[in-house]
Amino acid sequence: MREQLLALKEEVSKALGSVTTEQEVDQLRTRYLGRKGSLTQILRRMKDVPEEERPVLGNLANQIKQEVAGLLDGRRAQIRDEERQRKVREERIDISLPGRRPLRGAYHPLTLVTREIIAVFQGMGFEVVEGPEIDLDFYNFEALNFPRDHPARDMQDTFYVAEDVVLRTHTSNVQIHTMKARTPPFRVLAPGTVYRCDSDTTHSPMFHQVEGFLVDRDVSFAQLKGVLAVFCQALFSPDVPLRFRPSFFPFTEPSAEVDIGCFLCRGAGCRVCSQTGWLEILGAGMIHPEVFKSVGYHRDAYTGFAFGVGIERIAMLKYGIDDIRLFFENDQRFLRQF
Amino acid sequence: MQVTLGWLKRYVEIEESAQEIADLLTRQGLEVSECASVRPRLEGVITARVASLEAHPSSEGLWICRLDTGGEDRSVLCGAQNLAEGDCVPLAVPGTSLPGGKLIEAVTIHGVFSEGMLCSERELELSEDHAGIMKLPADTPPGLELEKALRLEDDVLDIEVTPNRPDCLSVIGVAREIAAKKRRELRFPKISLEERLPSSGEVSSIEILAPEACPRYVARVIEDVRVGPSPFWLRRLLGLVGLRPINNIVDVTNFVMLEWGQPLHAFDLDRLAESRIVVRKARDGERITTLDGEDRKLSGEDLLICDARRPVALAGVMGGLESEIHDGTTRVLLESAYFEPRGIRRTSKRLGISTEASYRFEREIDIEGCLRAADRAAGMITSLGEGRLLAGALDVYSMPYRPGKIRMMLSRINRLLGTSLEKEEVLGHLRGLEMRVEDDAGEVFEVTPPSFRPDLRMEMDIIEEVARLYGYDEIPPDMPKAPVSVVRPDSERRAEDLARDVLVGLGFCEVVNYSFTGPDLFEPLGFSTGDIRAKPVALQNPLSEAQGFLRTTLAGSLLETTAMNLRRRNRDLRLFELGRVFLHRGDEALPEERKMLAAVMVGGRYAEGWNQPDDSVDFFDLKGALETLLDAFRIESFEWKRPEQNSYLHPGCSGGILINTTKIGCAGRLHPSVQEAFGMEEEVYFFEIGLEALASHVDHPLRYRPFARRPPVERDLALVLDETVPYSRVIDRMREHADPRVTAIELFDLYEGPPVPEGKQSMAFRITYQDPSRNLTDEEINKIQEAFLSRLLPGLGASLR
Ligand SMILES: [Zn+2]
Repeated sequence: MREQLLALKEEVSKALGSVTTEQEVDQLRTRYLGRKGSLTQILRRMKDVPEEERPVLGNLANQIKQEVAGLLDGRRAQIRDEERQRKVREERIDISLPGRRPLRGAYHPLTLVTREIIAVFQGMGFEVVEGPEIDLDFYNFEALNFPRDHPARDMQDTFYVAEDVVLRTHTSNVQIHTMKARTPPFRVLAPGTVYRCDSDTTHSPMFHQVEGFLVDRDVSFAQLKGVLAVFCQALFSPDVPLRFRPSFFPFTEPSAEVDIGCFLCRGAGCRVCSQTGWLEILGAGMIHPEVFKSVGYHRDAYTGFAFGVGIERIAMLKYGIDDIRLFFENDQRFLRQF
Repeated sequence: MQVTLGWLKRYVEIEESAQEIADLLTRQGLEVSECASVRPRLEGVITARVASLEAHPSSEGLWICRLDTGGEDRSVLCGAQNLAEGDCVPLAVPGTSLPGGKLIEAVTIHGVFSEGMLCSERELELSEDHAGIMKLPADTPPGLELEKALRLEDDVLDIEVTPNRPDCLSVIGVAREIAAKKRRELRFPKISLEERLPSSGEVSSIEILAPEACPRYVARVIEDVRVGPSPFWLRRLLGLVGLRPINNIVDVTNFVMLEWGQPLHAFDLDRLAESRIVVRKARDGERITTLDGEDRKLSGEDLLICDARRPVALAGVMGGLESEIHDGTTRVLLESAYFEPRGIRRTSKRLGISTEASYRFEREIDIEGCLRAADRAAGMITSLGEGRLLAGALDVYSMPYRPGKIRMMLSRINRLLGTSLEKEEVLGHLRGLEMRVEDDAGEVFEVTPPSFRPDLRMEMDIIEEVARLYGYDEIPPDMPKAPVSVVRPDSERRAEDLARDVLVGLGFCEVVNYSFTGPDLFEPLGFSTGDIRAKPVALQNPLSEAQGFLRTTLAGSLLETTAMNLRRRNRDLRLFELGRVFLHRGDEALPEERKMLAAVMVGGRYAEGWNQPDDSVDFFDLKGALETLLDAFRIESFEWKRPEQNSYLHPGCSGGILINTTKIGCAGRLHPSVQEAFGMEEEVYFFEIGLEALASHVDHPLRYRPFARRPPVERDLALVLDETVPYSRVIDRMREHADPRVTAIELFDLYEGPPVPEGKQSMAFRITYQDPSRNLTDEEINKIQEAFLSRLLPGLGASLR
C-alpha cells in the first residue's frame, strides 16, 4: 500500500506534465482525489492493513494527499498564469487613436488676467469692491478733480446717458463711493468695466480696468512705488525692469506712469514697444488733496495713493494679442486658446 | 507738440543726442512719443555763387551761368529766370543723385558744356517751391556742402504734453525743462525793436467790453510791410514741426507762438473799420465767416474781436476771412492777448473747431508774456527787412496778474515722497524752474511760481515738481507700514468665481460681449411692452445705432455671438457670459445694474470623435448643467415651473427656475422664430439667471453627514401611469411617502408604447434601501416596499408593471 501511495503521487506528477488546461487539472483532481478517485480506492483497503501499521500509513496517505493537492494547485496556477500572459500578449489596441475627450471649457482671457491681478493685491491686503458702471458726473469726474470745461476731460471721451449721467470712463468712481462711505484706513481694489467713445485696434468703446487705492495716515510715494513694484514683479517676472515717470491725472499728484522693460525685445526696441524698450502698463499717483476735499475728509488728515491698470493692455502683452477687438468678438477659436 | 533739437539748441546748450534728450524729457513727464532724425540726402549738392550770367546765343530763355564754387569755376546751363549775378545757389555737381532719384551728369546741350544743375527747393525735396532756383542767404560762402551750410540735419521730437502743462506747448518751455534738469542756463531770444513815429496809439485803439473774458490785449502796428514768402530757414523750421508756411507775416506769428506759447493773430489794419479793435461777447445768432471759409453761427457765450462795425475774428479760436493778411497787405495789426480758458474751450467745443491757438488758450497762456511775444514778432517782422514798427504797444491789461505764494515745509515734502532730501537740493530744483523762493534758514520756505505755470497753486503741486526734477526713479521703494489684514472676497465675487469654475468644468467657454445693444439684438426677443426689458437705457452719443442702448438681458448679444460662431463653422458651442444688465428704475437718474449669468448650448453633446456618439444636446443637457451649477452652490430646494413667460423661449420646452418660490431665471429651447431671426438653423438651448440668487447661497455652511456603511440593496420598480402625469409629481409623492431607509430613488427608464397601454407611460425607478445600523433582509425590504407602494399608487392612479 505504501508503494501504491507513492506510485499514485508519481502518476499524478507524470499526468500533470501533459495537461494544458485548468479543466484537465480539475479532471485529474477528480480522478485521483475525488470521492471515487484513486486515493479513496487505495484508502478503502486500509482495513486490510495490520492495525499497528495503520497510523504510519494513515500519515503517509495524508501527506501524499496534500502533496498531490499541492501539485495540482501549483499546476493549475501555472496554467492560469500562462493563460493570462498569453491573453495579455494578444490584447493590443492602437493607442495612437484619439482619446475620448470631454469638451473643455475656457475662461475668458480678461477673467484670467483679472484674477491674477486680484490675487497679487489680495496678498497685500486689498479688498475687492465694485461700483456702478453708469454713474453721476460727480463720481466719475467732478469729485475726481475733473472740473467742467477743463481740457483734462478731453483725455477721456465720454458716453452720456443724460446731461449729468455718464458711462464711467474709469473705475476710479469707486474711490469716491468708498471714501464717502468709509473712514480710512482702507486698501481697496476695484475691477470693472469702463467705457469711452473710441474704437480702433488698440481702443475699444468698452474695456476693463482694475483701480486700486490705499488711504491711511502718512502714506508715501515711496510706498506706492513699493506696492507697484511687487505687483509688476508678480505679474511679469521678479527681475522686470521698472520705470516711473511723471504724468498727469487730475485726481492724483504727484502722478506717474509706470513702464516695464519690454520683455519681447529685452529693451532693445521692437514694434510692440514702439522702439522704446519700455511698455506702459499703468497710471498711478498720490491721491489729490482736492479729491479728499470733495469727499469731505479734513485737510491733511490722510494721504493715500491710487493706481489704475488696463486689463486688456496686460492681456494683450501677456498673450501677444494684437487687436483689442478679439476680446469682444468671442470667436470660439480664440476663446479655446485660454 | 513737435520741436526740433536744433530749435531747442537756440535756448539751451545741448551736447546730448536726440535720443538722450527724448529720454530725459520722458522721465521728466514730457513723454516723447517719437524721435525722428531728419537727414536730407544731399551729398554732391554744394553752395555756389553766380559769377556771371549770359543769355544763350541761340536758345531763348536759357542762361549760361558761370559759378564760383569756392575754388574752381564751373559753367552750368540753366532755364530758370530768377537768377542774378551775385546770387548764392545750390549746385548739384555731376555724379550726384538728387533725392527724387534723378542722376546729374555733365552734358553738352545746345553746344554748351554744362557741369551740373542748379536746383529748386522742390528738386532738393526741401519744400514744395518750384518757382525758380533756390536762393541761399547772401553771405553763404561758396563751395560748402549744402547740408552743412543750411544746417539741414535735425531731429524732430514729438512730445505728448499733458493738459496741466501749457508752458510746454512752446519750444522755450521744453528747453527750460532741459535747462532745469541739467542745471544749465536758459538763453532767451534777444528782442531789438526799431520803433518809428507815429505811435500806434495815433493810428489805432483797443476797447475791451468783456474784461473777464479778455483781461489783457496787446497790439503792435507795423506799416509798409511787404507780404511775401519767408526766408528758407523759417519755412524749413515750420515745415519740420508740421506747420505749412504761408507768408512772412503769418509764419512769424506761428514761429513766435511755437517759441513762446503765445498765439498771435495778424490783422490787415486797412481792413479794420476805423482801424480799431473792440473785444466783446457775441450776440446770440450773430454770424462770422472764419478763415476756413465757414459761416459760423455764434452764441452769447462766444467772444469776438471786432472793428468799429463788425466781427473780424472769433477770439482765441480763428481769425475772420475778411480781415486776414493777403498779398497786398501793407499795414499789420499784431494781436497778442490773453483769453479766459473756459470760454475759449466752450466755443471751440460747441463749434467743433480746435486750432493751435484755441488749444493753447484753453490750457491757459502766460498773461505776463503777451507784450513780450508781440515785441518778439514785431522785431522779427521788421528785421526780416519788412516794414516799419510804430512806436509803443497798445496794451489794455485790466486785471493784472497777481502771483500767489505757497508755503512749504521740507519735512512734509520728504514725508509725502518718502525721501530724505536736503533743503538746498529742493530749492535748487525749484529755482531751476524759475520759481522764486523766499528762504529763511528754517525748514519752512515760501515759493512763488512763475506766471507761465498756472498748474502750480498748492503745496502738492510744488512737491510734484520736486519729485519730477529729483527723478521718480531715484525715490527708494518702500512698503505701507500698516499691518495687513486678510480680507475675503465678498459673496458676490465668490459666487462669480464659483459659477465660472463650474461652467468651465462643464465645458463652457466664457465670452465677454459689449454692454451696448441695438434694435437688431433686442427687437427679435419680442419683449412685451409691459416688460421692463423692452425699454433699454439709451445713450446720447452712441458710436452707432447698433450700439445705441445698454442691454437689459444677456440674451441678445449671447445669441448673436452664438450665431456668429455658427456662421464661421464653429460647431458644438457651449458659451456662457457673466455680466451686468441695466434696467430703468422709474424716474431715478441711475438705472439698476443687475448681474446676470447666461449660457447657450448648441450642437453635439460630446466632442466629435471616432468613438463618440453624435447625439445633439437637448433640453436636459441644459437643465443638467444648470442643476449641477445649483448643486455646486448647495442649492437643493429649487423647482422648475411652467409656463414660462419668456417670449423668446419655446413655450413647450422651457421653464422658469425658482428657489424657495423666488424666480431666479429661465431656461429652455430658443423659440424657433427667434432662432431664425438670428439666422441659426440649429436648436439652441439657453438659460439666464440672476447672480444675486447664487451669491446668497455661496456661504452655505458645509456640514458632514454620516452615511450608512451597510451594503445598500437596490430594487427596481416600474410604474404605469397616465402619460400626462409629470415626473415631478411622481417623484414628489415618492419622496413624501418613502420610508426613511430609502436612501435614493432614481428614474432609470421612461417608456411609452406596447406593451404599455395607449395613453399610458412607464417610469422605471431604482430604489436604494439602506439601514445605518444593520443589514436588511429580503423580507424586511419586501415589507417596506409593499407599505410604500400601498401609500403611493392610489394617489397617482398608477399600477405596477
Ligand atoms: Zn520691445
